[in-house]
Amino acid sequence: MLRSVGVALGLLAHAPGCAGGAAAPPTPTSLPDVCRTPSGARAEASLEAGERDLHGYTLHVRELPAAEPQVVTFELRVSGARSRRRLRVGGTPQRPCGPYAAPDDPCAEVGIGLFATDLQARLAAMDNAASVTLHHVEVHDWGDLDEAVVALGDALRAWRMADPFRVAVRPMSCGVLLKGKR
Amino acid sequence: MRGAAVLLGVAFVAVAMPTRADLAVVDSLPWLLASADAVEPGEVRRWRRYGAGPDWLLTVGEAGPHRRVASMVVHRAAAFLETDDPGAALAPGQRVIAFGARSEDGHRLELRTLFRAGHARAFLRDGRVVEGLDALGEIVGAGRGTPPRWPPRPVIVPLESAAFGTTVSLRLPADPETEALLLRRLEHPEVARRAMAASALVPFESSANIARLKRLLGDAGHFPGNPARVVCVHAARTLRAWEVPLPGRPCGGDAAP
Repeated sequence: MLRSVGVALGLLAHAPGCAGGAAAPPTPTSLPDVCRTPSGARAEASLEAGERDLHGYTLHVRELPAAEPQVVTFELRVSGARSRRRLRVGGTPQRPCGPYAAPDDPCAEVGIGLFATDLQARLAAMDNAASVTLHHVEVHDWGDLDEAVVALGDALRAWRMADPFRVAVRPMSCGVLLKGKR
Repeated sequence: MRGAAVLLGVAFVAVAMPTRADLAVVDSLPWLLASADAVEPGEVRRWRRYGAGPDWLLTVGEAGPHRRVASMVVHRAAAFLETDDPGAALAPGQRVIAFGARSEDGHRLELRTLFRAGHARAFLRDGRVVEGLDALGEIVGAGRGTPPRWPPRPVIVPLESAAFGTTVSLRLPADPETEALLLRRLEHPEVARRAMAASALVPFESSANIARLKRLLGDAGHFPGNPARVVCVHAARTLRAWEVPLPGRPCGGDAAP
């Protein structure tokens, strides 16, 4: 509490109107390129929209309309004989599923925590720098995309997931250092 | 207490000498899983003869926060036969890992209770295994790293030494270290170990492992021109469990595995 009050007072003291003089407005430093665009070129990735065989299952790939500049998002979905589990993002599944299930396993919901942990382990095993969030796999380098898609397809297949999951190629989220008079 | 009704003096048998690869896996099991397969590191405190027979009473000190002490009766096992003295195999202060049984009520069972219930098994740090007769063939396993919120489905991994003559196996977490152990065994020169690795690989479904097992369908076995059908059969079973399409009889013979 004291800390936040102190921060607020500090901000007020540094505000241009309170400083008693004409302070220069804060200006962001120049961002590295990786913060503006993904590294590499799209040609480094072979991923294309469409369908492909995934060891007897089918991997459906769809490129989503760009919601932000410099961000390309693909949606991956696996369909197959037993791909019928749903991904649960909020709350705790009553009966959490494991990655492999016998054909008569009634388990129907996969918690995002377990799925994301497994997916991150698959990426780490490939030395891939992608990271997994609640909603998608985040890749900052086009050169990492193909591996991330393999890992995501494997995970969706292994967990027998019916729901899609996304992989996004996007610039690295960078902090902005404000330069200004203190 | 359901377990207390079972015998106190359960005879234990056993002996297998895991290889370094096995021990590396076992040595990296630092935590116990409260609601599933418990593991409690401890140490051998003392031993003495139990009755007039060939059994020994072994006292194990638990290394957990409660420092409980548990006693168990071990049968004079094959390792002791040569010297008739467990001191040759066990030493005070020697580190052991005692494996507990599954707790169905979600709470960790006391080590003493487990031993009394006859479900406890111990695994000595130097590789010797003391195994409960009630569940011979399975050492209940453990986990690595941070305990997950839900216990993962364990992987039954036979000890390398258990390939022939015994059925001792470890129950390991389905994690990258266990997968790495199995992948090493897929390359093992002995047919039996390749086969058991192909069989235990089920929880590790991935494109890479599918490709590995497909290669094993044509496993050449010990002798060129004499395919190791057992390796092929186990690999085919795992691939079928993963619903990978295979030809009708990938291993030859009259029926599909």
